[in-house]
Amino acid sequence: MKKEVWMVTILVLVATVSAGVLGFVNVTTRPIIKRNEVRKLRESVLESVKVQYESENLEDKFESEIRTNEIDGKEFYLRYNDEGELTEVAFEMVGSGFQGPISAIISLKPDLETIVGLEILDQQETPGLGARITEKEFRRQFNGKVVRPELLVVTDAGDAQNKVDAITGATRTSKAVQGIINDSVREVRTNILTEKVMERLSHE
Amino acid sequence: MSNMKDIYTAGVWEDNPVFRQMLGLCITLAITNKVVNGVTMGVAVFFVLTASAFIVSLLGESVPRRVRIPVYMLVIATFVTLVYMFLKAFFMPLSQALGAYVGLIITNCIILGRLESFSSDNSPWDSIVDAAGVATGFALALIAMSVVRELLGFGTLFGVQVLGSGWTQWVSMILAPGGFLVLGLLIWVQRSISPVEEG
Repeated sequence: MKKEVWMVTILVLVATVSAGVLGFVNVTTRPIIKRNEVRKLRESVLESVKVQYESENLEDKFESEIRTNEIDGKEFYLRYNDEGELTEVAFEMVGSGFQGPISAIISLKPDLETIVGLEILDQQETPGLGARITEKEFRRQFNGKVVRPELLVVTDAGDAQNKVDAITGATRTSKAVQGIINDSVREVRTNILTEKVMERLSHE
Repeated sequence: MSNMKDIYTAGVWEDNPVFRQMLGLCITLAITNKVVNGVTMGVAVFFVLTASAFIVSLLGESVPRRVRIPVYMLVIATFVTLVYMFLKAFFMPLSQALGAYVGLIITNCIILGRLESFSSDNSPWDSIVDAAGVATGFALALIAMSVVRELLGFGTLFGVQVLGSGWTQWVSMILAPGGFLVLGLLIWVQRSISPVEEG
């Protein structure tokens, strides 16, 4: 009997100490992790609408350049020019990649078809293959492309307005990016930023 | 087993966890296509292994045999979660690159193996040296693997172009088959240098 009591006691003891340590570290690192995530999001939004920023003035730039607007429970990052006309609309997209979820920021012209920029927030694709969607050379291709009728990520894109080159050896990830963009843009265009909503947003 | 140097070098070379004991192969195959991943994983395992070896050797005899595995798992999981939160807070790009593999250190049998076979009945100081040796051996194996794979697969080291731009990338080196090939070759090399003594 004594043995069993001791067994339980030591397990409870070790678990308590472990929980205490982890709880403490979690409380101390959580704000930093949260801040990292917010920073990463803001950096990506600014990059996607091609606004230059330094790491010191990131917050100010974001505040002055971007208007955050929640529509139907989804956050939109809007940018207006000096005349108060809407120039870019950015939002977050999430979807399944080859190995895990991919989340990204896409920014579009007010026609909701022409891509201004694409930034990857988070992904778990194969390092060196699928993970290369985070590289500038891949993302830059999307600038100015048109999601109509739909965007295609293919082996040989040529000069087509709606095609970009896939990553060699990462067909599944490339196709996943294609699907995420088409689905999200279509969803936003037809269900959230309808013509009526866009009219309201088009001027400050 | 009291000579520190012998304990240490055994873990690094003669009993190398990857090339001799064939442990921790899942992580070894998965993350070694870039040197920076190999180094980070090596450092993370070094910390988790030495820290848990120290704690387990302190607990020593007071842990009843029948609950020793749950106790070890708790200790390991605690340190792994610490590493996970630390990387996320201070080295975000690295934690993104390693993805789920940091969490998988918990199930790395190198660590459980050392705790079970050494730390549980040796002094804290000896245990730390043993853990450090084995972790160094693991880290060196990861780095050796990733140097070969990154060099052939990308033509780079630490992301810096080493082989000329005319280099044709061996895509298979980055993928799983390359991992198996390089692992097999390196095991052969290591065992040729110091052959296994058949008992």
